[in-house]
Amino acid sequence: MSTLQPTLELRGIKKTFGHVSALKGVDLAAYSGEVLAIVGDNGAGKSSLIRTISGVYRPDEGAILVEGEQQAFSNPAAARAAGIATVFQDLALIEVLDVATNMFIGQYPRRGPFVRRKAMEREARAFLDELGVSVASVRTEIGMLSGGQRQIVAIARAMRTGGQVVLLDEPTAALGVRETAQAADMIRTLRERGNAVIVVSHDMSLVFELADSIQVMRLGEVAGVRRRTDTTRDEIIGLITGAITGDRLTA
Amino acid sequence: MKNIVRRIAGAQQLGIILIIVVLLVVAQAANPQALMPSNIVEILRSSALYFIGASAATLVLVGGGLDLSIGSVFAVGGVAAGIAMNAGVPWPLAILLALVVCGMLGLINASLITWVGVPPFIATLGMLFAASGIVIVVTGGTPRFGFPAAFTDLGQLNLFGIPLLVFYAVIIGVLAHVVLAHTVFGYNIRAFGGSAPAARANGIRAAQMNVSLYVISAVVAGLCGVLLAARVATADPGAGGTGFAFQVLAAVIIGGTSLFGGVGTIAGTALGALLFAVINNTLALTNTNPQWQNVATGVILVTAVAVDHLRRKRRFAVRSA
Amino acid sequence: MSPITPRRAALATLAIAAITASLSGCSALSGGSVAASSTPTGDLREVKTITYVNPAPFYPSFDDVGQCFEEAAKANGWKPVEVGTAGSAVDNQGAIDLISQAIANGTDALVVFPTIPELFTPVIQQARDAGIYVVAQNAGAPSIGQQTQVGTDSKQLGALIAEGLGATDPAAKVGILSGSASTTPHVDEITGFTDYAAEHFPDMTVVASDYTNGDPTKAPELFSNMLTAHPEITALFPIEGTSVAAAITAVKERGATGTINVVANDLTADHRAVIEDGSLLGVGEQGWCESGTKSVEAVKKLSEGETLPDFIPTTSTFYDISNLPAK
Repeated sequence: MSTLQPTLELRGIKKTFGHVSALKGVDLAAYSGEVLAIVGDNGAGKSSLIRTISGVYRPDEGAILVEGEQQAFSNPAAARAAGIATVFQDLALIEVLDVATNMFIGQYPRRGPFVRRKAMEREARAFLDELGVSVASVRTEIGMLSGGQRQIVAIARAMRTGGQVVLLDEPTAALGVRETAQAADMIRTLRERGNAVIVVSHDMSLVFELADSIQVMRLGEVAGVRRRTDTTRDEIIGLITGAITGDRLTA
Repeated sequence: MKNIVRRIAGAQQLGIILIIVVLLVVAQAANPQALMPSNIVEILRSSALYFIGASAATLVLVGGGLDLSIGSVFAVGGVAAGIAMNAGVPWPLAILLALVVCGMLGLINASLITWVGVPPFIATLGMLFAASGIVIVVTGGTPRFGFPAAFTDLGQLNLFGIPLLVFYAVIIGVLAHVVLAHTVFGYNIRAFGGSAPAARANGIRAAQMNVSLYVISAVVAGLCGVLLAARVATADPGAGGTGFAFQVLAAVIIGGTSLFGGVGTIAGTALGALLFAVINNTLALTNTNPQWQNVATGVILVTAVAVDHLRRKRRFAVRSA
Repeated sequence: MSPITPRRAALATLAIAAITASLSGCSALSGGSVAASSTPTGDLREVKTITYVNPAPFYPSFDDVGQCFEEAAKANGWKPVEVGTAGSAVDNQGAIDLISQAIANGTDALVVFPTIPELFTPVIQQARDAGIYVVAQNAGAPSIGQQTQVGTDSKQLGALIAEGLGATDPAAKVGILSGSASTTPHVDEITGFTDYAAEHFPDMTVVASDYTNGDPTKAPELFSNMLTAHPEITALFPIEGTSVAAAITAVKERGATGTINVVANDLTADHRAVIEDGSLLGVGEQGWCESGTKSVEAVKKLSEGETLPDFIPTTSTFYDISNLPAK
C-alpha cells in the first residue's frame, strides 16, 4: 500500500494564528480506494487541517500534493479545481434553492451564459437514483429536507463533482440511525468508485466500521497513523487522550 | 411537495393581481375612463420608470444586498447627461457618459461593501446623501434643459400608440427575468443571496457578485434618471431621491422578493410596480384624498413582508424541525 | 412667506418631526419669562452683524435674495452672514438649528424665513429675548415674535396668476399641484388665486388639487392621472418649480398643447425657455432681490427706533410672452 503514490499528500503543514500553533508540521497521505479517518479531541487541529485541505486556509509552511503534483490553494475554488471535494459540517447548502441547483452550484451544465436546467435536473435525478437516495423531487428546496436528507445531498454533491479526493467533516453528527447507515453506504460507494475518502469524525463505531486507516491528531500534531486491522479502539482512544505516547510526540 | 411550495409562493402574487383588479373595477365604477386604452397606457407609462429601477433592485435584493443610493444616482444620471448635452456632447455619448459616471458610483458602493466590510445599508445610505449633495453643488440647484429633440423623443414618443418608455420597461424586464431565472449569473445571484458563506464555499466570488450587482443597480438607476430627463425635457437635480428609492424597494418587496435574499422574481416585481401606478390612478379617478396612497403603500408593504416571513417560517423552520 | 415658493415642499412627516421638536423647545424656553420686548428708544442696539438664514440655498432665486441682502448690509457698513441648510429640500428643523446658532454667536439682527410659521415662533421669541432684531420673510402668516415681515404676499401672487391666466382663458378649469396641504405659502397662493378668480372670472374654477409631498419624481404621474380624472381641465398650475416640466410634459403627452395652459411661479432660466417656446403661458415672479434689500432696510429702521408695519410687501409681477423682460 505505502509503495503506491498517495492521491493526496500533505508534508510538514504548519499553520499559526497569532501565538497559537494550530498545526505543527502535519503529514497526511490518502490513497485511492481507501477511507482515511481523522480523529482527535477538540482542539487537536482537525478543523484547521480540513480547512487547509479544502483551500479555506493557506498553510504557513509545508506542501500539498495531489497525484504527486504540488498545489497551492488560494481559495476553495482552487482546491476543488484540483480535485478535492469537501462536505463541510455546515454542509454549505443553500436553503432557498432546490436540490438540483445545490448539487450543481458553481458547476452548472451550461450553454453559453445559460444554465441547462433540464439537463441539470435529469443528471441530479439520475445521480441520486444511482445512489439509491430517497429525495422526492430534485426541485424540492433544501430548506424542506430533514437534516439527514441534507447530509445526503451534500455528500451526493461532493461525489458528483468527481474529485479524486472527498473530504467529509463529521458526516453523521446530526443524523439518526437509519440516516447514518445511509451515509455510511454512500461513503463505501465513494471508496468503491476509487475515490480517496477522508472522514473526520468523533463517532468511533463509524470510524471502525468504515476506515482503512486511522490518523490520530493531538495538539496540532500527528499522534499516530494505524491500519484499522492492526489496531484497537483502546489504542486509538489512548492516542487521542495522550494516555499512549504518540509516535512523533517529542516534547 | 413542489406544488405546495409553488402554491404558497404564488399566493402573494395572486393577492396583488386581485387587488389590482378590484382597484380597476372601483375606478371603472367611478369613472368610465378607467378601462379605456388611453388610461391603461397612462398607468403603464407611470409604472415604467419605477419598474425599470425595480428590475435592477430585484437582482440586488435577491443577491442578498440592498441599494438605497439609487435615489440620488437617479439624479446623477439625468443631470450628468444634461450637463454633457449642454456642453455640446452628442446625446448618445452624453447618455453613455452619464451611465459610466453612475457605474463608478456603483463600483464605490461595491468596494465599500466587499473590501472595507461596510454593511450595504450604511454604504448605500452614505452614497444616497453624498451623491445628492454633489448633484446640488455641481448644478447650484438649477435644472438643466434645452436638450436636442432626438434626446427628448426617447422619453416622449409613442410606437403603435404605446410610449417608448413602456417598451424600454418591457425589454429591461424581460432581460432581467432571463438573467435571474436562466443564466449562470442569475443562479449565482440566488446562491449568493441565499447564503453568502455557502456560495463562497462553492466557489462563487463575493467581490465579483457585489461589483456586478451594485454596478448594474447604479447604471439602471442612472438610466431611469436619463429617461425622466428625456420625458420632461428637464434634468432636475432634485429628481429621484428617497421617494424614488423607497417606492422602488417597496415595489420589489411587495412583488414577493425577500429582504433576506435568495428569493424573488421579476414578474412579482412587475406586479408590485403596477400596483402602485394603479393605486395612484384609482385614487385620482375616484377623487379620493391622495394621501391615502401613502396609507395604502404602508399597509400593503407590511402585509407583504409579514406574508414573506410567515411563508419562510412555514417552509423552512417548521419543516426542518 | 410666501410667495416665495420653496421648491420642495417640506414633507408632512418632516413637519411633524419639526413640530414635536419645537414643542419641546417651547417648554425649555418657558423657564424664562417671555417678556414683551419693549424697546426703549434710549437703549437701541447697534447693528454690527446681520445674519440671513436662507431656507433653500439649493434654489437659485434664494441666491438672488441673499446677494441683495449682502449688498444692502454692506452699504450700511454691517457685516452680513448668510447661512443655509444642506440638501435639496426645505429642512425646517435645520433652519431652526441655524437660527439658534446665530443667536448663540451673538448676531445683532436676524432675517429668517419661517416656512411653517408656528415652528419658528419659539426660536424667534428666543432671539427677541436676547435683544436681537428679527425680520421675517413671510407674508400674511401667523408667526409671532418678529418685528415685521417682508416679502411676497402669497395671496397677491396667486391673484396675479389668476389674472394672467384669465386674460387668456377666463373660463379656465384648473388643476393645481402643490407641495403639501400644510405648506402655508402654497395654501395662501391657492386662496389668493381662487378668491381673485371668484371675483373677476366667475367661470374659472379649481377642479382638482393634489400634492407631491416632496417627491418631484411623482409629478408627471400625478398630472397625468389628474388629466384622466378631469378631462374638463384647461389649465394646470404647478406651484413648485420642480413640477413645471412635469405639467408641460403631461399636456404634451395628451397632445393638448395649446388647449391646456400651464401657469407657474418664478421666472427661472428654464421657465423662461418654455415661455419662449409657448408651452408655459406665464409665471408669477416674486420680488426676490427686493425682499433681501427691504429686509435690511427694515432692520436699519428698527435700529433707529422706528416702528414698522406688520407687513412690508414686495412687488410681484406676472410675466408672459408679451412682457418677458430681457435677460
